[in-house]
Amino acid sequence: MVSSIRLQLKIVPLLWGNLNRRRLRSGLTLLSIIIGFALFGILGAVLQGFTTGITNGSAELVVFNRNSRFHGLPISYQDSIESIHGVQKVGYMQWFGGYYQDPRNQLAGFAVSPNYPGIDPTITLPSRQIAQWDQDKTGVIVGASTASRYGWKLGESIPVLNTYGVKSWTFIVDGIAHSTIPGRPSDGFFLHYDYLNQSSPLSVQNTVSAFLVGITDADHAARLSSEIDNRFANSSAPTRTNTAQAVAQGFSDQFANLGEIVLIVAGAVFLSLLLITCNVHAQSVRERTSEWATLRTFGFTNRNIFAIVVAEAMLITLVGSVIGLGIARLLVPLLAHEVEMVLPGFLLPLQAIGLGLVIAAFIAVATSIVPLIQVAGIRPAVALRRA
Amino acid sequence: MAWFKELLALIVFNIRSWRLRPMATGVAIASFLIVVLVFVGIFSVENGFTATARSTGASDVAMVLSQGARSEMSSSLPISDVGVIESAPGVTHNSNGPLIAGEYTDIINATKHGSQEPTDVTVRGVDKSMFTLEPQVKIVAGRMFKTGVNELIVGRRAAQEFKGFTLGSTVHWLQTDWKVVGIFSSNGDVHESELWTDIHALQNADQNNGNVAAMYAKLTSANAFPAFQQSLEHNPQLSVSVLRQSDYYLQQTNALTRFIASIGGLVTLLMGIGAVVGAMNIMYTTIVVRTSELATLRAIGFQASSTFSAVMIEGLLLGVIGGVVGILGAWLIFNGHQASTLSGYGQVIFNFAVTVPLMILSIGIAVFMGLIGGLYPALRASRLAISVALRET
Repeated sequence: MVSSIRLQLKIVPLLWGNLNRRRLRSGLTLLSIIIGFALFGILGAVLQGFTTGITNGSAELVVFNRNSRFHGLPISYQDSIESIHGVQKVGYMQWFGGYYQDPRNQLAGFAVSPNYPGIDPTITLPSRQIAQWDQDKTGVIVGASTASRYGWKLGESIPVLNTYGVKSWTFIVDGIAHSTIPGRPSDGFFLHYDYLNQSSPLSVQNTVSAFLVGITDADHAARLSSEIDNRFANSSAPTRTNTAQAVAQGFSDQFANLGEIVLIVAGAVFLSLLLITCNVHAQSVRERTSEWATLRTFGFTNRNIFAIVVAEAMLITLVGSVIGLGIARLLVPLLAHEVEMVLPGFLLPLQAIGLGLVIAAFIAVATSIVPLIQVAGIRPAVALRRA
Repeated sequence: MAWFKELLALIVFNIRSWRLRPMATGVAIASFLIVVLVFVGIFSVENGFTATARSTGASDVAMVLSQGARSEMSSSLPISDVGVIESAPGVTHNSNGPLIAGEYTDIINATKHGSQEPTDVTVRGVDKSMFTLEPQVKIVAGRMFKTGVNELIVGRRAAQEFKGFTLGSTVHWLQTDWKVVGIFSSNGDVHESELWTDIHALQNADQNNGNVAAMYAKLTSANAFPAFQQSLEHNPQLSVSVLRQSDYYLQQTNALTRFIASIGGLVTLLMGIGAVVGAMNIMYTTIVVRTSELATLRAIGFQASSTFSAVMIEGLLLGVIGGVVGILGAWLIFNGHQASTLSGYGQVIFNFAVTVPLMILSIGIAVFMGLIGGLYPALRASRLAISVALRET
């Protein structure tokens, strides 16, 4: 036992010596692994962007007009939905298409019910800010990302222009909301529904874009959804109810084909990475046939030599993957600006880094298989005579 | 001449030796191949999408929206604006009067084949005069919709991509039945992803008070645009934004194009560096293995310059083979592949396009990668200290 540990300790300088001997080759291999994992990290961030917000499994239903999410529903549905057994509370929201100073600065505007900040599970802010907003007819709650983009502070009044209806508005920033979804920027601009409604054109007055329904038991989501939809099936505004999760998934599916392409690219990257490291590793083990034979005559077992071969591969892939993932971690925020219009959730999650490290270990083992077969086939007497 | 003979002999010698190292040679080719495959794949998406966006709209058609509106969906113009727009400078006239068209846009839920969740599809309610402004829109099956009736004509690609829009079928939407009476083509532009109907039928179904979302005006020429824009945007009676129709579609798709190009560019760059490093590694390793062979050749009189060139050409060949196979593979896999994605407000369906310039560029990349990959090994091979190399073995 003790001698086996001592033997393993002696491996360390041997590993270092081997990697150091062909410095250029070790360097190139390391570089290709670093690049592979930097790519893995960036593609992971792309995939994260496509699926962000879907993982949130809260007990919420979202009710849209069956025709499309751009058609409204009468606000009177609120009472009717609230009366359904199993429904806890019902909030509502209406899209508000406003911009700040320049049409390029579009706001993600929602005119919402008073109880909305307590129902939307994706935002969080201090309760005294909600209380302040409650009292203030012209108050808004602004997402932290939007607030920092335009330098807005609490209590500041914000001029906003609208594309139709009343053209010019002024709001007071009463609250700054943070996103509860890691990595998701907080971009909402929440004003009071009543404030918008009183000046809306008659055709859209007292209509909302969606209801947000809090339910007591997530297991009843499917039953409650169909109950809500059945209730309004024959009205002039039929509904389509889904869990918040399914709505997010559906929205992300609209980009479906792009997500597939990302996966194909990631697969291709790994294939080439595997091929290159495998080949170089096999070559370097083959070159050292006489050295392995020498170690065998010193009393190293085949298992000891296997350990050296795998450890060499481990060392180089793990160091390479850590550096590569680190580079991705730095590059992703720089790239985020270019892609934020399409992918607001472009971020490298910690799970992806963890997965990357697991894959690195897998690559190390996989690339050692061919060399291990070579080593196992060495017959010291023959190998040494040849040298 | 003798030098070329020498070079040729070396190249043949090197290529023959590939048989001895099938794995290493295969891996070098494969790594170039994968880079080219991914590069062509990503940019065929970008190419196809941009081609669809660029071919939509004309530079001599002006589009009028509510001031600050980013799209038809957030725009609403009172019918009283029509008179002012008609009499603005630069509008073309024909026998029926000024060539302008109104439009009312909506979004319908439709489901893609193989999917359960609805996606957003643009429904465009148009004046008949719209077909004079968009002459490329042509009925390819069935007939044109009738005015004031709930009838749809469906873009060629939309009919393929979404369930339930075949000729003769009926769609229940906005509490009414809509009959699909025709399929249209539109030169492969964005409209082929849309459904078109009569503007009044759509306004009625939507209980709209008669406002239009956008107005279009055919101008006497593309140069007439600035004057037209000035006169409307500075008119105190109106509050509108005026833009060229062609610019509008580029703007709508700009975010997605930038996204694909920036991610695609970075991914290809990194993969390219990875492949060059890999190839360099493999070629370097094979040069090290062949140290005594190369030293022997040098000892019997082969020159350093021809040894260098031969290794460079070997790298070049590996790159070109990988590149050509990669392009062929990409062409087979990606060219013409139909995809659909959300852009602006509705789905845009497009075909991946592996174009000739893209192929030429990828061959260039493959050649470049091969040469860079061969450079260090070539230097190494040509600078062998012959006596040392021979003694070592």
